[in-house]
Amino acid sequence: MRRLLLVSLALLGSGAATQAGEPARSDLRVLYVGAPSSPRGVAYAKFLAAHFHHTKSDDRNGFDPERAKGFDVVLLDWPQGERDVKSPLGPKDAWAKPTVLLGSAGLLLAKAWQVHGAVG
Amino acid sequence: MLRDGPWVNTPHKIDRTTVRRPTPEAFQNTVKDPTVEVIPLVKDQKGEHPSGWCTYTDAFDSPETEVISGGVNGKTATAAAVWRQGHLLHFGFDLSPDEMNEAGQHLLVNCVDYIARFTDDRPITHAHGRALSRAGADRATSKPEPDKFYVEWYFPPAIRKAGKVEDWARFKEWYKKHRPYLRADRAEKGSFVLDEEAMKFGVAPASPEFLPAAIKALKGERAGLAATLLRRYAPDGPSGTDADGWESWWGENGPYLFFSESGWYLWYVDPLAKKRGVPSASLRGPARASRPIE
Repeated sequence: MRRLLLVSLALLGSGAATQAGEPARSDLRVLYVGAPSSPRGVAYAKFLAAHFHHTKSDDRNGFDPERAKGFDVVLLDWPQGERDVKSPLGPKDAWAKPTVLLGSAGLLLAKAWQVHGAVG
Repeated sequence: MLRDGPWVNTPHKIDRTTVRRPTPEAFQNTVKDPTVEVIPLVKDQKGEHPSGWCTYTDAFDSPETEVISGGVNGKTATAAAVWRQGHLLHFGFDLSPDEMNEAGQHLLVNCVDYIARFTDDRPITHAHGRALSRAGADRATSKPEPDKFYVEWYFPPAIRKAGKVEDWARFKEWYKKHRPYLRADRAEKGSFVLDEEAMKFGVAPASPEFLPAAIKALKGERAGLAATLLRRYAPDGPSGTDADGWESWWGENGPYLFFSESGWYLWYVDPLAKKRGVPSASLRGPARASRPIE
């Protein structure tokens, strides 16, 4: 029992911050949907891995919304200048995942889904 | 420009140390100070960075929207850089994480944490195209001299004629008198039309009194007019003109209804408020999260 307690504390210790006061990595499951092989996509993958235990990157082109199952948050990276303004996340009413829209992704999704964000 | 809220401290405490920057030209009509305080979010504060996307907040007149942060931009001091609508969080700073400093990275992580809690909230209002707001028209008509661009932007020819815009002082008086009955119209690409039927009815469609008055009128001499106005302003209500049906709908939905100009001057039901049995007016911001903020 004592050994078990020490192991638990050690685990807690390893989950704690590398610097005093900094939060540990989050257990949220985060999916980046963008251009994973681009320098920016690679940077996002590295950044998210540093802050969240469970992360994955997926290609926005041809993205199947079903692949967001099992994740808590999706980050959509969708730059302006793309010809295709069809939502990579599928129809609005079918999309239930909390989502962060990076940069101009909000503008493009607002146009596709006819929600706020298209005027600015 | 970074508002107080859970995103400031959870999970990271964001360093809100500010620096002063020259007031952007686009802000200078409302910000008289020659400099503004900003929280830098980038490592290289002297370098060039991609322009992000900011959104005009005039449109945020529905309960599921909230502003998290403004930002330096080329449009207006009140535009939002980071904001939420339902389960969608707009992070308008168009940066790679490599470009962000610690405050920028922490803000993004905190935003991920924040939006993760909104599993039930959804965008409510329909925003196809731009429905102009009366607040914007108020600004246009507050000027001592007409700005031709904005006068024509807000007021199509029929309205300019009705208000006799060539006499600016007279037009401003006309606007004040008719304002409660102006609404954005799709045929006018979001500019205003005067709802003469609503004027005849005598209750401003956006007012809290409108729906109960129109529903009551379904049983009287003005039933036809009331039915027309209910169809126009509450299209999600019962079909038909059955007064009992409308009364039942009103009884069921009253506390959860809100009027949105940006949603094309309509009454909407706030589904999250209705689901939780909390009046929509009380269910704003972080209170709409499904998972509590510790």
